Amino acid sequence: MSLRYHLIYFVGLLFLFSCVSKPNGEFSKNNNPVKIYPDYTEVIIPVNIAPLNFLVEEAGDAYYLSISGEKAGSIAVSSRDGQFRFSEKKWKKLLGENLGAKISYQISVKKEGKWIQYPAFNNTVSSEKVDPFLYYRLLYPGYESWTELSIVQRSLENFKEKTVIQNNVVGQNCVNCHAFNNRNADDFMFHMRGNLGGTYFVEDGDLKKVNLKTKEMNNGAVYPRWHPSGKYVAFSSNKVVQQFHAKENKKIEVSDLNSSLVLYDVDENEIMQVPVDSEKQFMDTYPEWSADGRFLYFCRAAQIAENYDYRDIKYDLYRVAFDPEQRKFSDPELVFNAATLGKSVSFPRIAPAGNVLIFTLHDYGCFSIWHKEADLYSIDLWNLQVNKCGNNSDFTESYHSWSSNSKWLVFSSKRGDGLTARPYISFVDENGVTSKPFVLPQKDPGFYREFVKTFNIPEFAIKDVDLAPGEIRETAGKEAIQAQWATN
Amino acid sequence: MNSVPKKTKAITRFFPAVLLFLFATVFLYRFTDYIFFYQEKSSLFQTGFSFLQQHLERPGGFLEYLGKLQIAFYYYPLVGALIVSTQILLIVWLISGIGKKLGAENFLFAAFLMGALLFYLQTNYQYQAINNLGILVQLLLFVGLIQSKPKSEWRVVILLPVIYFLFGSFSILLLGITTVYFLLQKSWVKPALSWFCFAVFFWIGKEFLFFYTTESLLVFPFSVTTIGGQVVLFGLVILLLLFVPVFVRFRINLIERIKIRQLKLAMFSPYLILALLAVVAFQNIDEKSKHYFHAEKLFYEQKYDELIRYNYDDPTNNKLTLFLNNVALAETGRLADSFFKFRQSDDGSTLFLKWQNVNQFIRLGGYYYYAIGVINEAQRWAYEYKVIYGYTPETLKMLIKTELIKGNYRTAEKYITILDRSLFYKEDARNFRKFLNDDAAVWSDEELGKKKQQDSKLDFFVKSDMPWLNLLPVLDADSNNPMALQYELSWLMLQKDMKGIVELLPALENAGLKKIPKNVEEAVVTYKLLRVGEMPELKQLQIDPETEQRFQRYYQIYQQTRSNKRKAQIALREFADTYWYYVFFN
Repeated sequence: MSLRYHLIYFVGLLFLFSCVSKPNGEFSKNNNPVKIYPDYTEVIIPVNIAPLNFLVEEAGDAYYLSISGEKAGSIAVSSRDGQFRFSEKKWKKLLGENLGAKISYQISVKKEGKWIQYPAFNNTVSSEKVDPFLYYRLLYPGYESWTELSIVQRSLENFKEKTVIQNNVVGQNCVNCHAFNNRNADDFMFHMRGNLGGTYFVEDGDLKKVNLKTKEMNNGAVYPRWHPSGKYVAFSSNKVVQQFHAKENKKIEVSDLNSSLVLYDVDENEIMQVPVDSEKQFMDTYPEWSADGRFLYFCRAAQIAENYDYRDIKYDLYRVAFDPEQRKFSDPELVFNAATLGKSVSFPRIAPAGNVLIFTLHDYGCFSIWHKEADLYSIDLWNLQVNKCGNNSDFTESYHSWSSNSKWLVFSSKRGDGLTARPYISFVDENGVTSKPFVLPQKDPGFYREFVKTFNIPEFAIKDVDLAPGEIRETAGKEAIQAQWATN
Repeated sequence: MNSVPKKTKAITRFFPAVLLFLFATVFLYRFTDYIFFYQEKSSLFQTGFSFLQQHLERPGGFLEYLGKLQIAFYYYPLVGALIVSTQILLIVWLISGIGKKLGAENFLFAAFLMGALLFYLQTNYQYQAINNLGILVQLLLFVGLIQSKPKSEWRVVILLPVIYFLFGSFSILLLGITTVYFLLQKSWVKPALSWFCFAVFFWIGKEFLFFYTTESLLVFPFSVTTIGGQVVLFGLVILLLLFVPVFVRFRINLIERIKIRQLKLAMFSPYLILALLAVVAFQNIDEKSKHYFHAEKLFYEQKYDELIRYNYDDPTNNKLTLFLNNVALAETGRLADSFFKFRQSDDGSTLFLKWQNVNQFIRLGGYYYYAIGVINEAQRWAYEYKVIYGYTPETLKMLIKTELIKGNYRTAEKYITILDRSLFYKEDARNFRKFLNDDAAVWSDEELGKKKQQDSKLDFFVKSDMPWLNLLPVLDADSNNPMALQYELSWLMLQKDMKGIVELLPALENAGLKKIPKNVEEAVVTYKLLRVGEMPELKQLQIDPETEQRFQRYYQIYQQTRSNKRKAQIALREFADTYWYYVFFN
């Protein structure tokens, strides 16, 4: 029985291999580069990235790909439909053998019985590893309704994906704004809106629910950033409105009617105003800590009046010094004046190395994901020189996050179809210059063409979050711990 | 000797079964085909593994998947009627078979009774395919159990977690009926272990596997909505099914003993049940829903003239039907002309649907925006519907059309791919695909080109809770937009705002109208003859003297009868489709 099984298996394999064709010497050359999807040509990739499966967008009867390493190793793959999916084991080996070197892709397509070879393209294998996990929220890029929302963990070293939180576990309450302390899943938080609402903190593997809103606060806590010490979380507290465009392709306009910054002391369970706007002349939002935790960066616009024009709301980049021991702030100072350029800043994010800050720049407002013109810019924090990043496109580039070694930047981009955001990853050199990005690889190379959900808030992490549905349900059902208001 | 039992069998079993099948098929197809239309238009089955995979994320998802597959075939109502009738017949046959296997030679009364009840439940348009399908599968499994050897019965115990994963709450029916069966056999271990296995798997699933609420893990895919709110009746059917093994053992002797000549009355009970069912089923035909869904069908098919004629011949008070009728009137350029030929609500609810999270409202409300050329908002309503309720054929088509109009071809392609994965909309997908990356093709298409031309020229924030407020900015940007003009005039007529109507006359002229629409002209004549205000100078448009004469006559009768409103209404009935009648009696 066992022999028969093996014989069938062997014949099957033989049949499979006999069907796969490859060029055997004779071929003509085509000097035009072959188009592949997703575009993984000439990108810098981390040594530990999952295989960059792709498909060839050239009609043909058979396809052949040979990847050869500059230093060592090669992979050869045949395909009938132009899809190339690589063995994880062989891929890892090839990348490992070519640290700091190039791997070259040579594609041949068989048309009408003849093989045509296209110009090769390269990837550079960086020895700088990317953090092993990427977290994002999957949702429909919709307007105001939602049913299924999930925060998902994806391994960057393979294609494993797992749900960390899904809103259905608590009856379709909205879950959002997941945030890690220093990309470490040991300190992790997210908000839940609705009847089981609260801010959920993961502390040493335990989940707790906190109600951060006190009677002294006009609005709830919204956009979070952990202080590097893990002792504090800065939030913006926003009153948000959304309106729907009749004509523009951006469809939805999300803006703040007012906003301010608050600081939550995790250990003391206290929340306090960040005292940077005692006269309430400004709308402050999107907090971000400097790598040493001594400065709080944020976006600031003039407080809107009653008959405001949403296109006039321009946010500049500010910062305020912070004494973590005394829990005290100094006076705010302007870092980048976007308004004078007729622009607006959102999502300041500082590299863990502390040298570069990358932000999103767009025409107005603070909700850049619906702004086609939104692009990423970097500021050298030593000389405050601002440069446009090299990884932008004609479509929206918005939310971004740094890897723990400051060498990789993941960001949301809508360059695929203009509607759904996908996570793109760029290498960042020591001068803060970003390389051509590559989209998060998927097992099925045609995945992004059909997937209709959007990847929201991509965040690198170095650890695995393991929340069981029962644990979330149990915590959600409990009374939230009420944060106490503090004046300092 | 043998011919009599054969004949008896034919009379008592075969004929009633055939009758039930024929009656169910004919009734469902001929009298309640709106059930199939409604259900088919409420979901979209997709071929391919990913759609199946989506349904394997939660217990009961597989049954939901099968239900959607079945509903896809409702595209052809006759096929739908045949499937449902076959399912009911199979359930009757299985129950009867269970009875026989457990020792009751004649178990037709209970079998037909349950079949009849299921058929009655099905006559409610909201009663979904998963219910009969779920019951059928559980009965099949139970038959498999009782026909197997005692040793093999353990398989059910072991397989219960799998059955729960595939069929969700419907597996509780199997768990219940097997428990009753085992208990009657005085076996305690098997039911105890069945419940234990079920409970352990449920607990593991709840705590570690499934991101759903405990309640939904217990109940899904069953819901009160998917049985059309018929909780008592459905509960009764489930109870009867659960206790089938008991009924077999303790049959009601009285019914068993009654005989007519040589034949037991119980053997003829199926005929009685069928006769009763026929009477009750005909009484259960929902004429209002039938009318509404027929109107909706004509609307989706863009048979606007037929829809208008249908509503004219068979007037309705249903606001959704009237809303669709008004869109049809607008699309055929007759809204301001024939507006008062149909009942209208003075709050505008027959003209617009305000944004609210109600299935039919979100599904249809966007067609008003599509009609007046606010394509973004039409798309938003379709999109929001998709997010809340999932894909349906018509909302998907609306998403495709609006993306094509906006030139977002990559997104349109994604939706077309989804439509292409349906069973019966592949032709539509093929037709839509022709427009991809081809602006010229979109422009030259009668519908898409017209809408692209009308698409909002001016950006503004849409006020979906006050839909009439969106007409002015649309007209500000393009005063020649004929759809928006018709809607604005109709809204002003509802508001009895004669001044506003008269002020729009130059815009009507600019839009190239040769004649003032009938109802609008009635408003203008009133304004003029009652000297409410100044008339604008018009170059081409003229008031028909006949309309003035009609108003004089109307006014005269009104003056004579106005002391008695009822009397006046009767006297003025011939003017019921006029603006005047609306103004005075609304």
